[in-house]
Amino acid sequence: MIVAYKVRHTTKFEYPIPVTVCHNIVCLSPRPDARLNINHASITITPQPTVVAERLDAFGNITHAFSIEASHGELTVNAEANLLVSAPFFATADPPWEQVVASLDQQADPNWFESSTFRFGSMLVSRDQAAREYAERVFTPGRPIHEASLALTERVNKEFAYKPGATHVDTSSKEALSNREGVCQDFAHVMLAALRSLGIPARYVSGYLRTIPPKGQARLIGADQSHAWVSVYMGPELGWVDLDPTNNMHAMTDHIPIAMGRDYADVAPIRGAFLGGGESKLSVSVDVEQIVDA
Amino acid sequence: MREEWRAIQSSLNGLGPKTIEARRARAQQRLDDNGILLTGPHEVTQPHLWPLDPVPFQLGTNQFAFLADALAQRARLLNVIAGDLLGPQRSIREKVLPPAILFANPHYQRAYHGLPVMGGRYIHLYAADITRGDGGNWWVQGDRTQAPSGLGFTLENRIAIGRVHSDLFSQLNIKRHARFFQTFRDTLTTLATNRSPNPHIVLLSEGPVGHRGFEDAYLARYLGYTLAVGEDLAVRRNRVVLKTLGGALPVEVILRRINDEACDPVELNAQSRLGVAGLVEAQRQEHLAIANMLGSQLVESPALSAFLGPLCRFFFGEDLKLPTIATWWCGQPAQKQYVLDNLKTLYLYPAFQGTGPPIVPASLTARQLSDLIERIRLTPEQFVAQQRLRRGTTPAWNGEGYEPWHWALRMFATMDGDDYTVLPGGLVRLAREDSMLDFEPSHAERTQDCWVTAEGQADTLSLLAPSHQPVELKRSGSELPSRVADNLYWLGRSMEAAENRARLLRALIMRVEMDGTRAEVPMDQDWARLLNLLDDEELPKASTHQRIKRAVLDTPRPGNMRHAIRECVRLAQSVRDRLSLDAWRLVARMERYLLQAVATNPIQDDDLTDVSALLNHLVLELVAYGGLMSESMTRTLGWRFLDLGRRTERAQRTVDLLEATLIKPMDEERPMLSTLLDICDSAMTYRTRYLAEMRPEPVIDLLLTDDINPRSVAYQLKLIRKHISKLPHDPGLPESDADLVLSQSLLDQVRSADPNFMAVRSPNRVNLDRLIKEINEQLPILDQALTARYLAHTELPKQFTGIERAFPEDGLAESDAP
Repeated sequence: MIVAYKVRHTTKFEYPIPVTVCHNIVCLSPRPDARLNINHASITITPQPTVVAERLDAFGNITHAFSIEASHGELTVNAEANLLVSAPFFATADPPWEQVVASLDQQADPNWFESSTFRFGSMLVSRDQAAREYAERVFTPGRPIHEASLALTERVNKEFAYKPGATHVDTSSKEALSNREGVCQDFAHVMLAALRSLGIPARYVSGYLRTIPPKGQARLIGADQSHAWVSVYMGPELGWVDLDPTNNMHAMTDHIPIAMGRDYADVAPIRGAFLGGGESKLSVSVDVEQIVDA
Repeated sequence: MREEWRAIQSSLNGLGPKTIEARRARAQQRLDDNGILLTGPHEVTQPHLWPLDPVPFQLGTNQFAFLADALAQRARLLNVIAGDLLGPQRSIREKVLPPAILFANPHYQRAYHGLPVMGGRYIHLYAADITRGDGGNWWVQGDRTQAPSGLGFTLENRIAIGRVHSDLFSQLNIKRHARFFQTFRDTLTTLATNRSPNPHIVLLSEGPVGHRGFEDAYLARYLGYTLAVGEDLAVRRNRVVLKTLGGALPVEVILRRINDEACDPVELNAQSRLGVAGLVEAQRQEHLAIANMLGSQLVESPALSAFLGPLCRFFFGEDLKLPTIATWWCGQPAQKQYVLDNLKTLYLYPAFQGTGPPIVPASLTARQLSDLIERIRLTPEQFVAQQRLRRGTTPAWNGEGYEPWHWALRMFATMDGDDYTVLPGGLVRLAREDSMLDFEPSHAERTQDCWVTAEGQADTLSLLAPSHQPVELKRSGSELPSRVADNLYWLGRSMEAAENRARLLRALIMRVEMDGTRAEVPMDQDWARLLNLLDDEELPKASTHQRIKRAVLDTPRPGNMRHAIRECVRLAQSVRDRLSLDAWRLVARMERYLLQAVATNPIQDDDLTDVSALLNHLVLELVAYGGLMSESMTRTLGWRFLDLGRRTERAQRTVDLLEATLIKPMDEERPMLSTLLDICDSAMTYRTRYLAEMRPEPVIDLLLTDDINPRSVAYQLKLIRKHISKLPHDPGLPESDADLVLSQSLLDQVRSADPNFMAVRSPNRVNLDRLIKEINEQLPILDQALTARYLAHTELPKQFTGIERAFPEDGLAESDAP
C-alpha cells in the first residue's frame, strides 16, 4: 500500500528586540529512505539568509545550515514536501533477542557496522540500571525479538501518561522513565533506553502522523503535530522495524518519517544561536494532507 | 648512576650548595614576578603552578633519541587513527577496533565526521605523559591530542632556569627549545587557508583566570599570536573574524586551547560560552583551520590506548615503539572479567575521558566498590583499567643536597612537514609520594626543567632574539579587540583611582601627625570633608586613625585601597598579553606589598607608621607604573584607551576634591589649599610660580583651568578630546561624533572659566559650584557615549531548542565518582 501526502511545517520566531545575527541548522527535509518516495521537497527561509548550505549529516539526514547577518524581527522557516509512503513488509522469522545481540557482538550480522552507532547511550538516552530493569521485564530469556519489542511498545503505551507540558525538549530518558509521563519524544526515549540497555540497536525517528478528524468534522489545517517513534533492528531478516509507543502500533502508512538519529538531539528541527532578540515567541504549525489522486 | 647525571652533578657540585640555593631563589623569584598571583576571584597567592627545582631533570642523548623517535611514531599513528575515525572508519570495518571505542564515546559529536582537513593533519601539537618504571622501561601513561597544556610552563621554566644556569647550558651542551617553537609556528602558518605568508592566527583561550589562562597568555605572547576568548570572535559569511575597534578582521587559523565540544554552541555543546557560534560551519566551508582539528579528542581516549599496538600494525605494518602502561578496556568480556577479578590492584578511568583523576578501587568503601562493580557490569565500555606503576626517582634539591623524588614527564611533539618533531625537554612533575603524580595533570609538589644533552654544537636559535628575517613593518593597532580596549580603559581608571586614593590617605595621615591628634579626638569639621571622601559610610563611628587604617588594610570592598589594587591586578591580568612584563611585575608586586603589610599590621590598633610608609611606597610604584605605561606603550589604540581611562578618572577625582574643599570656604583656607596641591602633585609648580603665598585663585587655576598642568582638570579634558579624535570614527553614522562634540564643549567650558570669578565667595563659591555641577553632569555622559560606541560588551549569543544539558556518560553520569 502506498499513500501520498503533502506536508507543510512552518516554524516562526518573533522577537521583541531585533536579532542582529543568527546561525542555525534545520533538519526538516525528508531523508531519502526505501519506504519514502520524495516527489518534491523545499525549505524556504524568511528573511533571505546571508549564507545557506545543504548537506547530509552523519545519519544521512538532509540539513540546512544558514545564517542571517541582517537585523530581523521575525524568522520563518517553511518546509514543504510531497511524499509517497509505502507500507513496511515484515518477515515472519522472529529470532530470540539474545541471538540478534550476540550476532552483532560477534560482528557476524551483515549489518553490525551500520547498526553500531545506535547501540549505546546518547545525549538524551542513557543505558542505566532502571532502563535495563524495565527492559528485562519484557525481554525474558529466549523471547523472540519482534514479539518482545511489540510487548515493550505496549507496556510503555500503557504505563506512561501522555501529558503535554510535563517535559521539555531536553528531558532525558532517565527522567521520563522515573516520572512515567511525557509526550511522544519521551515515550520514544524511554523505549530506546530500554532496548539499548540490552544492546539492541534502536533509533529515534522524527516525522509526522496523519490525523483523521472525528466523523462529520472538517480536517483542521495546521493543527497537526510533529511526531516521533522508534526503529528497532531485529536481525538481518526483519531488518529495522518502526514502532510507535505513543499509539501502541507499528508505524505504517500513517507515519511519515523525516529524519532519524540516536535521539531527539540528533534531529532537532531547528537549532541555533542568535544575538539580540530578547524573549522570542515561537509558533509552529504542521499540516499533513493526504493527496487522494496521487 | 647515569653518565649524563654525573656530568651535571659535577657541574652542580662545582657551584656549591650556597650558589645552587641562590640560583633556585632567583629562578623562583622570576617566576613569581611573572606572577600567577591570581588563580581565581580570591586573593590566592600561588606564585607558580608548583615551585621550580634548581636541579634539572636529565635525558641523555640516546634516551632522547629513542623517545623522540618513538613519540613521533605515536603522533603519526594517532593522527592517522583520527583521520580514520572521522573518515572511512576502516579500522572498525576491518575489525581491528571494536565499534564501541568510537560509537560509545560520549564525546564523539557526529558533526566532527567528514569535516575537511586543512593541511592534511588532525594533530598539530601532541603531548604524552611519560614515565619510567622501576624496571627501567619507558611507558606512556596518557596521550593529549586536543589542546595539550603545559607547553607554556615548560617554556617558562626553561627561561627561568636558563637565566640562572646559563654557564651550565654551554658547559654541558644542552639542546635549546627555540627550534621546536619555530617549527610549530611554521606549521600553523602553512595551515592558513589564504596561503598568505603572514596569516592572522589567534590563540583561542578559555580566559585569563586559572593556570591555563596564564599559560595561554604566555604562549600567545611568545608565539606572537593574538590572544582571544570566544566573545572576541564571530562568524560572518562563514568566516571567523576578530571583533576589533577597527572592524572585523579575518582570522585564518585558530590555535585553540579549549575542548572540542566547547568550540561551537550551534553544532557542538549548546551550553558552551567559550566557543564561537558557526565555527564548525566555517571549518566545513574551508575558510578556517583549527589546530588541533575538531574531533582530535577522540584519540586521547584511554580506551583507545589498549588498541594502539594492533592499530600500529594495521596502519603502518610495524610495532609500536613506546607502549602504553598495561590498559584493559572493559568493553570486551575477557578484559572486563580480568578487571573485576583484579579490581583492587588497578586504577580505573572513564574510558573516554583521560584528563580526570583515576578511581582507586583499593581506597573505596565496600558500598562504593559494589556500586562501581554494578556500573562496570551495566556499561562496561565506559571503563578502562590501568596497571598501577611504581615510578622511578630523580635527584631533587633539598636546600643543601639531593634527595630522590618520584617524577613524571610530559613531552611534546609538533607536526613538521610530513612527520613530527619532538621538543628536546618537557615538563617534569615531582612528588615525594609516587601516587600523587597519578592525579595528573594538576598534582605535583615541584617541577623541574628537563635537559637533553646535544652531540656536537647545540642549536642556539632563540625566538626571544630578533630574527634575521626581514619582517613586514606594521604601525597600526586597530586589531585591538573591543573587549581588550574595555579592560584597558578600566585598568587606566583603576590605576588612577588607586593613586588618588593613596595620595588622599597620605595627606590625611600627614594632617593627623601634624596635629598630633590622639586617636580618640575626632578630626575637625573642615578636615573631615577630606576624610568623608573615603566612601566608608559603614564606619561612621570609627576613629580617624581607624578609618584611615581600614581604608588601606581592610578586606577589599569598593572604595578602599585593597580593592583598588585588586582591580588593577585583575584587569592587568585580563590584558596581560598587551602589557610589558615589567608593567605586569609592577602591578603584581604592589599587591604583594599590600598583602605583606596586611599580614604584619593588626588592623585594630591605631598605629599608622607602617601604613604611612606603605602609602609612600604605593604612590611611588603607581607613579612608576604610569610612567612605564606612557613611555613603553606604543601609541596604539590600546594605549589611548588606557590613557582615556586614566584621564577620565583623574578629572573626576580632582573635581570631587575641589567640590569637597572649596565650595564652602573655610575660615582659614591656607592649610587646605596646600594639602590640595599635595594630593594633586602640583605643589612644586605652585611654588615656582607663586612662591609661598597661598591664595585660592592660583590654586583653582592650577588644578582646574590651567591646561598645561598635567594634573589639572582642563589638561585631562584636553587629552580626552585628543584621544577621542584619534579613535576610528564611522562617518556613516549620524551620532558618530557625539563623544567628540561633548569632549570639546566640556574642554571649552573649563578652559574659558576665569579663576578669579570662580574664587568669588558669596559666601559660598557659587560660580565654582555651577561649573563643577556641569562637569559632574557631563563627564558621565561622555563616559557613556564612549562606552556605547566602542566598549559595549558584545552580547553573548542565546540558544534556541539547543539541548541545554551536559553529556551523560551512561553509567558514569549518575555516579558520585570518588
